[in-house]
Amino acid sequence: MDRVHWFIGDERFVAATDSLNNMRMARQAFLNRCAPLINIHPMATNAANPDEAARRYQAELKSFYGADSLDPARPLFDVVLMA
Amino acid sequence: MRGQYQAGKIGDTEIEDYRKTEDVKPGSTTETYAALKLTIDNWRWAGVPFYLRTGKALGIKRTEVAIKFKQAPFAMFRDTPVDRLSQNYLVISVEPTEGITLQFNTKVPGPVISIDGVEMKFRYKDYFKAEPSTGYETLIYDCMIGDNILFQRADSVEAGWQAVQPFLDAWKKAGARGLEALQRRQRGASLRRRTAEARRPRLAEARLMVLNDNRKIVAVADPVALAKAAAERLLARIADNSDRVAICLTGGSSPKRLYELLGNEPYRSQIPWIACTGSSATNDLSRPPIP
Repeated sequence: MDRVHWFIGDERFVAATDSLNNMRMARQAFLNRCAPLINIHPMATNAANPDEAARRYQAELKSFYGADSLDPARPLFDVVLMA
Repeated sequence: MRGQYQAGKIGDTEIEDYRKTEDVKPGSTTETYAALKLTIDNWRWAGVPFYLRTGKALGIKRTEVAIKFKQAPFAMFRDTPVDRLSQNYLVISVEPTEGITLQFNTKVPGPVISIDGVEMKFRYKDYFKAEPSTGYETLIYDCMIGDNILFQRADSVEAGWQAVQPFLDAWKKAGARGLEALQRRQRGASLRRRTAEARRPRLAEARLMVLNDNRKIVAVADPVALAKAAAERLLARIADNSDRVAICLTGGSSPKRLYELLGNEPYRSQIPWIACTGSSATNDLSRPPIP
């Protein structure tokens, strides 16, 4: 199992196929060829609305992290990129 | 005292009238120069005037604090009257030549008793090689580590506006006679508290969680160098963690070069992929990124 997981911030909330979709660009550039699907964590932009998508992503992050709240001694992300 | 600059010259550079510059209202009464004499009414600072001067489009760009020492009450040396002593200053230079200068009097060598002013000068650049900085690097770094010492605190901003706003209001209301009106009002009552939310500057109280233990902001020359620096940083973080690694990507056009680097050698094979095949069709870095 690949040990590197790829998450993403998304402020645009457009369909996964839209050219403005944040994860689409990362996928095309490198993730699709290299990372197993299970390690790619896009935001669910097919949700009813951004709030719902955020809620789902929150649940996914908590599940990945294995706890409901952050422990400062154990960060969730190893790297956070900001454009 | 306040003023607004008109067209003129700084050295050989033509300066446009303030009211004719872009995005300025032709009838603007915004001051571009202000000089204040302030006093503090308490025991310690009684008799010590504070002169503040600031302005745009001045002849020289300089930020400094000059402390002028009081005149000596008597002269120790014959034939050197007090009024002939040069003034003693401690000048703290903030910009552009950071340093401290102490101006004081000393005896002129020779058989004649005579006193003259000299300077003791410390300039940072004589001792340290200063890294060029935009100034924002420090602020962004401080945001990241949660150090707010260089940021305005809400109560200090409020206190500042409480002191300044009555003057601005009075000027606006009564034009040239505004100051007199303010002085009359101040005689009777304390300063009116200002409540105008709109004039309050936005407070910089950003807090970011930093996951980068290096805590260093790196400035690079161009987008390609930036992408390489980011790729190396990212690989180093992956290598740091032998367990499961979580990376939060970002969208937009800026990181595209980085992603293309990660999908190609020499970076690709350094990421612990199980199966990574094929070469990238988008490895041409000279292509403009997706907007």
